[in-house]
Order: sequence, then C-alpha cells, then structure tokens
Amino acid sequence: MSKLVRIENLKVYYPVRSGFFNRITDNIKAVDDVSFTIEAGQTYGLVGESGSGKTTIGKSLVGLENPTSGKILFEGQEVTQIKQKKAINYNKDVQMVFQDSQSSLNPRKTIGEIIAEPLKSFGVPNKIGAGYGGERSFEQSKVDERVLELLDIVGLPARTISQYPFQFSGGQRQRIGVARALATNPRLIVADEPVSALDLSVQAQVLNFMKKIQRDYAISFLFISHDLGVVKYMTNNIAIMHNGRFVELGTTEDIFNDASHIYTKRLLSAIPSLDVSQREAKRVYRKKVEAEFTQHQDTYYQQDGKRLRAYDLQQVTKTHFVALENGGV
Amino acid sequence: MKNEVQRMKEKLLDAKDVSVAFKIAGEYQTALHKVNLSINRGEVLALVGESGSGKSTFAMSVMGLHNPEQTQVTGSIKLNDNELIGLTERQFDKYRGVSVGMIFQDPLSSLNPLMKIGDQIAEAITVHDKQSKEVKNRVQQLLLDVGIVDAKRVSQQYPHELSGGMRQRVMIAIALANEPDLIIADEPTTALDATIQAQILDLIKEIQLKKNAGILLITHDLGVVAEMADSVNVMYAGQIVEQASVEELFNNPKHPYTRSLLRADPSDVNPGEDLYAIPGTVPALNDMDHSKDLFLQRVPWLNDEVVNAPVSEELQKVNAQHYVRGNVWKTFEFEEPVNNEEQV
Amino acid sequence: MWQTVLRRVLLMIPQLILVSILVFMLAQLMPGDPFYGNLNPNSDLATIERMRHAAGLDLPWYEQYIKWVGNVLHGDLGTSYVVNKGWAVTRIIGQRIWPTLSMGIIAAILTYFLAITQALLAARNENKLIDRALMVWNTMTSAVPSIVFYFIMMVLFVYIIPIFPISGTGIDDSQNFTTNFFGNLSYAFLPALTIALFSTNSIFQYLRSNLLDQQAQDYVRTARAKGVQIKDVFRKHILRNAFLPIASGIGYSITGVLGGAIFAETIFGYPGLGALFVQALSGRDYTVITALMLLQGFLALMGGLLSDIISAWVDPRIRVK
Repeated sequence: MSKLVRIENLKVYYPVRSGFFNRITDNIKAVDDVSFTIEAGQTYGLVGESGSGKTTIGKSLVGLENPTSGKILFEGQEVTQIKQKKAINYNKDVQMVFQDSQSSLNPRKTIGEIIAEPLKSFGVPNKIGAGYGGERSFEQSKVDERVLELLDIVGLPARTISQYPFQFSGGQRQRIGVARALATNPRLIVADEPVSALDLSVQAQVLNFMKKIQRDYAISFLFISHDLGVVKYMTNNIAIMHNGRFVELGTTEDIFNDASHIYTKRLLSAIPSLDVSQREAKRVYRKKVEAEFTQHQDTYYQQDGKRLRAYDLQQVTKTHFVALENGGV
Repeated sequence: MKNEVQRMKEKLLDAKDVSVAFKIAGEYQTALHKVNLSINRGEVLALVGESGSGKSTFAMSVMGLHNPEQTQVTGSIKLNDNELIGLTERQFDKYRGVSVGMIFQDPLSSLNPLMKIGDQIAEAITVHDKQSKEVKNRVQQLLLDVGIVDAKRVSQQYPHELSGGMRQRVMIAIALANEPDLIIADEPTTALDATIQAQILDLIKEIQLKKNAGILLITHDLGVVAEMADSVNVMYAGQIVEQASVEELFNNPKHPYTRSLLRADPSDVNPGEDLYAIPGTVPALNDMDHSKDLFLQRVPWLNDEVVNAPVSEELQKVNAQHYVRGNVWKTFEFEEPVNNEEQV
Repeated sequence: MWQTVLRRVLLMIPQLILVSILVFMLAQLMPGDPFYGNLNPNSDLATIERMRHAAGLDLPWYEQYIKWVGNVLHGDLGTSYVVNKGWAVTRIIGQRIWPTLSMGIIAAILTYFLAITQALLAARNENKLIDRALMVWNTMTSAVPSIVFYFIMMVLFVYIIPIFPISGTGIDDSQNFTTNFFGNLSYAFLPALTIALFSTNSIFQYLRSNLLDQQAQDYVRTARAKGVQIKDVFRKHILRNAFLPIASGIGYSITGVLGGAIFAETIFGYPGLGALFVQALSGRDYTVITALMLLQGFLALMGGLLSDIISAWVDPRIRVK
C-alpha cells in the first residue's frame, strides 16, 4: 500500500478581530492539529457534525483553502499551500465532488463544457485508470471523445452534452459532478456530503456510481459526511472529528464494533436503526451515553477557553486510534 | 372504509378521499389523489415519501395553508369531528395554532430574523388571546418544557444567535404554545446533525406522551420512521401505497415501492452489495394517471399489461394492521435489473 | 458599538481633508473668477486686478488652500463676491439653512410615506388593477423629467387654484418665530409635496419587490401556522424585513436634505441652499461654491455613517458585538 497523501499537524485558524483597533483577539480553530494518511486505492470516511472542521480539511486538501500551519504531502512532495499545488498540477490527481450540485455547476455552461473544463486544463489521459502517467493530449477531438465516455460511465445519454444544469434533477447533477471529478483520472477524489441533499432512491444511484468507479479504477476516496450510515456503506476506514480534532480513527469495523471515545459512541447511538423492536432500548442507551458525555467530559476532553478540545490520538491497535488522556480506556 | 390500524383510542384526525389539485398554466393538476387516513390521540402517524409524493401537500391541507386561488381541495378532513375543508380564511386563522400546531423543516428560515425569540413564542399565544396576562411566564415555561434551560436569556435573543438544535426547540415551543391536540412535524430533523436529530426526536416523543397529542410526522427518512412512528403511510405520486403499523412495515413490507426503498437504504445493506437504485423518475404532475399504480412503471421486469392495469381505489388487506394498494405485491419479487442506468 | 462609531468618525477626518482638497481644486479649475466673470465695457482692469489681489486670488493655489483651511477651522468660510456682495458666506448659508431644512424634511417624510403606502398596496394586490396602475404611475413619474411636473404643479396650485404662495420663504426677520414658522410652512409645502409625489419610484419599486419576496419566505408560513391573519402578517412581519435594505438609505436621505433641491427651489422660487448653489455657480462665486461643496462632502460622509448605524440598529444580524 503506497502512501498517497500524508497530512501532518494540519491547522487552519481563522482570525477574529475586535476592539477599537480591529486587532486579532482570538482565532477560530477550524482544524486544530490533525494528522493522517491516505493510501492508494483505499476509501476513507471523515465524519463529524457541523463545525467539526471536516469540510475545511477537504478544502485544504483540494486547494480551496490555505492552511495556517502543518504539512500536506502528496507522494512525498509538499503541497501544503495552494501555489505549491499549482506548481505540480496537483488537481489533475486530486479532485472534489461538492454537496450542492445546484451551486457547484456553472448554470451558464452546458454540461459538456463543465466536464471538459478540467480536461482543457490538465489534458486528456490516454486511458481511463487512476493516475495513469504518460502522455496527455490537449486535442479537441480527444476532449470530446473523453466527455462522451464519462457521460456513459455515469449513465447519462450522449445527447445531454449540450444541456444545461437546470434541466437535470439533483441526482443527475450530482452524477455530472462525479463525471467532472473523474475526467482527469484523479488518484484521489474528495467528496463533501455528495448525497446529503438527495432522496433515498436517488442517493442510492449516486452512491452506486461512486462505488463502481472506485472499484473499477482503484481511486482513493475521502468521503466527508455527517451520516455514519452512508459512510459505513461506502468506506473502509473512518475518522471521527469534533471541534477541529480527531477523536477516533480506525477501520470501519473498529469504529462500529469497538467504539471507544464517548463522542463516537454518542454519534453511533444517534443513528436511527430500522429495527423497531429495539427502539426503546436504544433510546435508553442514548440517554445513558449522553449523560456520560456531559458528566465525564474531562476524561475525554481538555478545556480550551469555552471549547472542548480532544486529547491527542493514542494507538490502541494496529489500525485503531483513540483520543484519550493516557492511552487505553 | 374503516382501517383497523387504530387501536381503541379516540380518533383525532379523520381524512377521507382528500384530493388536492394545483392550477398550473391554467389547468388543474392533481397532486394528491383520494388520500384516506386517520390519527388517534397519542398516536404517531408517519407519512413517508420522497419529493413529489404529496406528503407536504397533505399537511398544508390540514393547516389550510394552500393558496385558495390556485388550489382545489376536495374530500373531508375532520379534526375532532369538525370539518376543515371549506372553512373560510378567518375560521382557519382561529383554528391554526390552537387545535393544531406545526413544526417546520428549516428552523433558521422559519423564524423571523428580526424578532426576538420570546416575542415570536408570545405571538403564538397573544394572536388567539389578546388579553392573556401570563404571557411572559408561559413563554418561559414553554422554553423550559422544550429543554432550553436558560430560558430568560434565550427569550431575549434573536434566531441567528442560536444553534440549529435550539432553534428547532423554539419551533416546537411555538407549536405547543396553545396545547394543540394535533401536532404536524414536517421533516423536523432534516436540517440537523445526527446527535441533535436524536435529541429533537426524543423531545417530540416525550411531549407526545405527556400531552397525549396526535402527531403527523412527515419524513423521507426511514430511520426516523422506525424510531418514532406507531403507524406508517407510504406515499408515492400523490397516493397512499401502503398503510401499516410500524412493526408490520419493517418486518413485512409488501408494496414494491416500500420494498425498493428499504433496499436503497445504506444503513441496512451490506457494504459488499449494491444498493437498489430505483430506475426512472417520479412522473410529472400532468402525467399522473391515478387510476393505475404509478410506481409500477419503474419496475423494469414487469410487463406492460401489469403496469397499466387499473387499480382499485380501496387498499387491499394483508392483515388487520396492514393494507396495500393494488395486487402486484402478492407475487412481487426482485429480479436482477437489466442495467442499473436510468431511462432519461 | 460605540467603538465602531468612534473609529468611523476618526476615519472621516482624512476623508474630509481629501474632499476639501478636491473641492478646492475643482473650484480653481473653473474658468473665470468672480471678478472677470462680471466684466463689462466699463470695467477698469486695474481695479479688478487690485480686487483680485485683495482677495488673494493671485497667490499660488496651495497657498490659497492653506489660507482657506485655516479660515475654515476658525469658522470663516470667506466672503461672497457675487451672490450677496460683501456678506460673510456663513451668514448667507445660515440664512438659508432653516428654509432648506424645513422643505427637505417635509419632502423626505412625504416621499417615504407615499412610497411605502403605494408599495404595500401594490404588493398586497399583486397583478391586480391597483398594482398595475401604481406601476404605471411610478414608471411615468420617473421617466418624465421632473421639471415638467414641477411646472404643472405650480400652474395648478398657484395660478389655477391659488392655495400656495411662491417666490420666497415666508421668513422675515421682522416677524416673530411662530409667524415665521407657519409662514415658511405655507411656502415650503408645495415644493415639498411636489418633490415627494414625483420621486417615489426607486423606493416604491425596491420595497414592492422586497415585500413580494418576503411573502414567500418560510417565516411567513410559520406566522400563518400560528394563526396570524394575513393583514397582520404584512404589518408585523413582512414590512420590517422588506424595509431593511431601504433603511440604510435613510441615512443618506437625512443628510441629503441639507443639500437642497435645485430644480424645485428654482422653479418655485424658494430660496434655499439649492438655489444658492446655482446662483453661485453662474456667478463664479468661489467662496460660496467651495463652501457649499465642502458642506455637501461632509454631509455625504455623515450620511454614510448614519446609514451604517441605522442598518445595525434595525438588523440584529449585523450588530457588532
């Protein structure tokens, strides 16, 4: 398993100005010292609630935000700042699928133009397959060919190439977003809540496509979501975030079968299950976890002003890390 | 037709043959077709469907919030034996917020950004009882009832100063202000994080038990249904396709749509399997022929004769707690789809 | 909040300095001067040169500027050479402040009142006859040059139905305050009403479309779900939200009042600051012109500050903690 992306001690702080001279009095610590590794061909879920920092990590990874400090390494090369990413044409290898397909697709461009755009910037690879090196062509005919191929992969008919985003449903637009992300044979796709706004049946369609391209082309996926149910289905590894820090990191089995941090347990207990007979028991369990969370916060968190700050991650098994004070429950 | 889904409790809401048509481009198009359902005191009825199913339209009909110039509502909706369809605007104003309270989906946009929280809750009381003396105390009590401990401070704050969960609690307080018999919750947790969602649902459940209110819960989330509902109505394209107690629905689903939905839910499917992605789309309003079972068009392995067969208005009985539309359910099996792509 | 206000006020100082330089230079760039502008065959060039020298007009511009700034800071805005020969500019302006203010305030109040009433009527009856009629009226009044309407109003209410007096302010030093006050009102009212009647368009359009937008908002639905009647919904919820963006414009309206209304004052013969400006311009009365422009600049800056304060006061979402 080769290391594709390594994030080290990433911090993204937003300054808060106040007072007469508008001085920086405080910082909003959106991402507060996060480290992890993404390996080639693996799928990762980044789970947290609003304000956890998961979207900020996604944006920093893709090049939509400049981190305040820390390192992002792509195949050993440093790509922390946006200009470093641009220098090596980073985005031909790392692409993003966004949550709101309505606003992330340019309404004044046809979907053919939308999908062709990354191809025009980075060239058309010779073959569809994750990060196939070698020649990239910039010929228009190759671009057109590739766009049609991509439409076919995501299950849209060829005639849609000249249509506009508003003519499609939410699920279809999301598939267009996936096609665009796939265009340059990326090695990593970051998907930020790609199905949260969709109905269940449409969600299934989009998730199926994402699984298919992940399998067929061995692309690494970072799936950002607040929905643990979806993440469980789509990923092999999960990281749980709270207040800008990781509280637990492990394989999907580690998280679901052996959740150790109280926040993880809290998230898990909040997932509604489809087993009606268990619902009262679940409710009782949920209240117990909630009580534990409020009463024993100091076991799991330090105080940082008014915010709870998780401890550093400690290794529990080869794959499982938990943010506990002294390591070990 | 009397459904035996209800236990022997007081019947609160009784809807018979409710149809709603919207005037679009000069023509009336049917969005809701002959919906029959009832809710008892102390019962949580879930109305499940995806966008375009008509579930919110039904809720609006109970509240009388449709635009009268562009909407035609027929049938009968009785709340505590009082007929709602045909009430004048003024009569509806008197009844809204008193006999029925509503909780909406997005609490940020559903609260007036320029009014203090306390004033917005107070309005729910004073609009029906101008002379009410105890308003301030009642507002504080309502905030405490919905779990907002710092009631005094919060009532002086504005909506944008609160978190999503707190705002939804405020919405619940507003809905409860006059102790309504029926509470309608329209996607109350869709905009919220998972842990807050659980808290809000637990709160709604608590309130329901305390006040013995009936709850009409509208959602597209099967998990929410499993957690909260006593009985479930599944809707598709403006019609009810399955009506069952919640246990029956999840343990013994019958209608092809219900079964397809369950197969599309990732929390219930093995990571190794594909989710079932229902092919096709919901038909457009002007393309809905309600004499047939409209969902069958989206089952590619059924032949045309079956798909276009006219279907009885009455739901077929599976057992005392379970009714389904049509007859296909009796022999319905999933087959490997020809391709998982959509016919656009 | 006061910290922001204080900071803004302090920031206004360099802004004012810039404005004063600009104003001064603009006046200097004008062709002609108060003396050469009044040349006639009998003018004696030597005398004119002497007068120019006495007025300091032959000094380089930066020296004139510094002299001028020094004077301004002492409250001396100079002397008029054309409009009211020999009078201190402060006295000329001071004389006209009251009538300008009275007419301006009445005009502003009437404009908002008329525009808001029209917008409410139009929005509540969208696409019905009254809505369309109001749209036509407002479009017409904004498309046709206002001077046309001023003439019509004048002919109508001064000559055909003589209710209102014109050509004057109604203020006379010999009269007591009350007589002056009401006398002035009788002169100020017609121009004020005329201005208001024909400048409702921008507020009307903006408010009307905001009202319609707000009608479709979710919180309106919540209010109705509580049982609030439609008419009360408009009054208690929609109006405030729809008015918000316009509220910030009030700041400018308030300070703009002191700028005077050039067309109205000229046509109705109402000697306020607007008419003064026109007179001073045509006579190249430097001192008056620069003083007035400086006043305008200052009012504009204050208007901006006032707008921000009003916005923050009215909208709790943008209050600085």
